[in-house]
Amino acid sequence: MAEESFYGVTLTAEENTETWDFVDEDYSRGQKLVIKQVLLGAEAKDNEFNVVEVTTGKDSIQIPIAVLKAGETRAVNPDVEFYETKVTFKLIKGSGPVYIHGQTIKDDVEVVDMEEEDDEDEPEDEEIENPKKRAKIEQNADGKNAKNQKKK
Amino acid sequence: MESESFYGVTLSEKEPIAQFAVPEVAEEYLVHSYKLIIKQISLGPEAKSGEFNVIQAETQENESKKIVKIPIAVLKVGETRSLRPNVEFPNGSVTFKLVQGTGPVYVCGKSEMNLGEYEDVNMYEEYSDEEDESELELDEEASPQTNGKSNKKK
Repeated sequence: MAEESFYGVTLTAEENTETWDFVDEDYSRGQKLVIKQVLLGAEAKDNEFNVVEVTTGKDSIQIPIAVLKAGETRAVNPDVEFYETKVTFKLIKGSGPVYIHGQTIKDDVEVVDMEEEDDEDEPEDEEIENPKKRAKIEQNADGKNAKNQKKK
Repeated sequence: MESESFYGVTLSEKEPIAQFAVPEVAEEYLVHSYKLIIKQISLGPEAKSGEFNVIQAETQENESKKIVKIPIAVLKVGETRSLRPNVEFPNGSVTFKLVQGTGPVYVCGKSEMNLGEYEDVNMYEEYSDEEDESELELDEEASPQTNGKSNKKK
């Protein structure tokens, strides 16, 4: 079961930067931030462009993801995703306030060595996340079903 | 097993608050996970000109346990009639509030639930017990149990 959480931050002229960083744990666990909406507050000044720029840690990409203006564009829906990378949001133009909405998703998978024996028990609460693992588990399931059929 | 349901509430000056909490399910089910997705928020035709209508969402961040209060929609006659936030609120209660303006504002979306039957937990544990495999029959055609009897045949 993946762990999901609502993500919501506000950028203003005084606090124009916000960073999301995934937690480094003992075992590798996919963590993702999805940005669904960027919204301009009611108090924003008319005819002022408000631009939110994103900077990624992994590939060092720097690019605006929202260009808003009262009276023209109140909100945008980027639906962009950031997987296993630090992300910084910055209000590079305008005084806001700008609201950023999305969610964080944490895979609940343990990385398994693909060379392991087929007979080994799979942990019960493991989510089938990547295709290789899915194939392995289906293989096991077929094997066990075949055994059951024979004994009927 | 998955279950989903349309979600639709109206916020106005008279009724500015709507709360969404853990969905209620029948006794024989366990809620593994659930989420609320807000797809569209729109302003009614009766809304006043020149007035901002702001919808705020209040919820708890699952990781940090911090309470977040943030506007998710800002609507205005003549500028923005509706928005499509497509934001998700997983595994937590959410409160929507019309914090500015008189509305009416229509909040629409859906709630999704991942349910497990109460007996599922026991059945799965038996399945991974390698010694007793011969005594177990996993009948894929079996209808869901609701009376507490076990499928295990001896």
